[in-house]
Parts: sequence; structure tokens; C-alpha cells
Amino acid sequence: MSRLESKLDQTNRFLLTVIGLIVSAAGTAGLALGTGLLGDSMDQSVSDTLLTLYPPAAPAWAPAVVAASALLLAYLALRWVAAQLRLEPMSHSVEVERDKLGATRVRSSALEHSITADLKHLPGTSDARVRLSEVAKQDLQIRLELTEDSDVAELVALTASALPKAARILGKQDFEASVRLVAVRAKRVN
Amino acid sequence: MRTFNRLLAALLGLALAVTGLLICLEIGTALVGRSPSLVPYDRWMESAGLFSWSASETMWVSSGILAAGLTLLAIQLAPRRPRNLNTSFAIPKIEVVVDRVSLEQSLSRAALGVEGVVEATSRANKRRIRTTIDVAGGENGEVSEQVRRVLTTRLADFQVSPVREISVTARTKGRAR
Repeated sequence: MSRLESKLDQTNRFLLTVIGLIVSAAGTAGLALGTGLLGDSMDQSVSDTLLTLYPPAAPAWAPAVVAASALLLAYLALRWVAAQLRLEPMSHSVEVERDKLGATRVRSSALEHSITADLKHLPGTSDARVRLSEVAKQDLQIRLELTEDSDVAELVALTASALPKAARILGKQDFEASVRLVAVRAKRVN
Repeated sequence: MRTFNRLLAALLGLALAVTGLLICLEIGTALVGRSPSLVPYDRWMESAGLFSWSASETMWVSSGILAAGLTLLAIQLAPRRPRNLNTSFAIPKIEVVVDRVSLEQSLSRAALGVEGVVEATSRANKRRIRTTIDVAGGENGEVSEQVRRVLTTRLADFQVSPVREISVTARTKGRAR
């Protein structure tokens, strides 16, 4: 899981907890009013109580403040929704060289396919997926599917040895990668 | 649970955004001297006026709201198992982790490879691996020990760390021992 996904999950959990608290408080308040725990409002109608929440003489700027707050709430809520839909802003191309004449860029997908092809052919690997990310902690995120009979330590070492090629292409000295091992059932050969 | 949370977040986010925009729009409409157009406040207040706080309908709605809030809180505050488990592969600049669910499945498959085990389920967290096995024809302690050895080997393959406890619970097929 990338750092971005992890952050999003934490944010979701925090905000949903806050919403859970607010909803619980509203339900508790309703029950407390109905059972008379909050004064003599048991027989008061719901609308009467709601009307008492409005200040009798609200200042002229109050509606503008409420409208601005509502707009801010809508904006933040839309950003929250957008965050659920777009997790990983992947880079479309990577600059591998720059000189006086200009820059050489490689399509990220081409680089990802090249590294994936190398990893897929490692013995004991069922499948490999490589993602190049500019925002994650690591430059490369690799998902490596291993079959039951694979030598995990050897495979990890082979994967590690295949990565300097990616580093060379990326022209990076400080190259970081995350490898996620996924154990899968070996395919049956009839 | 992460997927559920994302779906819920998207739905609640949309609801909040629509509410915020409606409030803004209604205030704007009121400021230019027109009556509310999209939200039927009058009808809502009228129907709210029909019920007192102690009315059974109001109490039911309040209970429902409280139950929804508490359920949401319970879901969010419940401890979660990690998506990945750390490994002790020491490779400079490369972080190696194992997908927890796939590891659990792999451990169950490994346990099933032991003679006599007809069913196996494994649950893993950062420090503990719990495997429950169903043994055909009863268990005399040997099968559990064999399963434990197989699990230890499989975990060692992945160098999962720091697992401190591997527990194997054996059941005679169909009922607990």
C-alpha cells in the first residue's frame, strides 16, 4: 500500500469517526429530549425546539457567514469524494536525461512494462506488476506473485538485482522500491 | 473494510457537498428576496410540528440515528489487521512486505498438505499466526505439531517478522476438541 493510500485510509477513518460521533450525539440528544433528561421539552414539538435554535435577531452578516461556511463544506466534501476516486497520480513520463538541447523523457508505461517483463521471467514468479510513482515514498512499487514452490529468498534477491536497470533508466542515484509479495496457488499443469 | 470506508466516504462526501451547495443556494435566493425554491422548509417544519419529542415516532427515529452513529463508530474504532506484513529481507533501499491475505491462504494450503488435515484456516496479524485445522479421525497431538512445523517453515520462507507466536487449534472434523 502506498503512502498516499495509507494516508487516505487514515483520513477516511478519522472523518467517519467524527461523523459517527456527531450522528450518535444527535440521536442521544433526541432520546434525551424525549425522555425529559434535558428539561421540560418532552411535550414540546420538534419544530418549536428547532426554532428556538435560531437567534431571534441575527446580525445582518450571519446569512453570509453561513453561506460561506456551507460553500467551504461543499468544497471540502467534494475534495474528499475526489480523493476516493483518484488514488495514485501516476506519472505519464519520466525525464531520464536533460542537456542544453532539451530533455529525454520515457513513457512511464514503457518503463513499467520493461521492468515487469524482466521480473515475470524470474523462476517461481507467477505474475509481476510494476508501478512507477512520483508521489509514493518509493520510486517503484512492485507487486510480485509467487507460487508455493518458489524460493522466496532467491526470488527477492533476483528482483533486487533486476532493479538497478530501472534505476539506470531513471537516472536515479537514490533509488527506492517497495516489493509486495503475494503468495498464489501454483498453476496446475496437466 | 477499506473498500467499504471508501464507498461510504464517497457517499457521505457527496451528500455533504449537495447539502452545502443547497444551503448556499437557498441563502442566495433569500438574499435577493425570493422564497426558497429547492428545499421545502415550510412543509418540513409543518410535519416536525406534528410530533413532540416524547412521541413514539420521534423516539424511534432518534434511536435509529443513535444506532447508525454507534455502528459507524464501532466499525471505525474496531482494530484492523494490517494489509501487509513486514519481512526481514535486508536489501538496501528496497522494502519487502508480504500481502497478509495471500499469506493466510498460503499457510492454510501448507497446513492442508499435512496428512490427516481436511480443512485449515489461518489468520495472521503482526505478531500472531492462528491456524485452525480439522483433522479426520481425531488428533493425537502429532498432526498439530506437524502443522506447526510446516507453518514455521513457510513463515521462514517469507521471513515474516516479528511473528512471535504460532498457534494451531485442532478440531476433530465437525466438532471442537
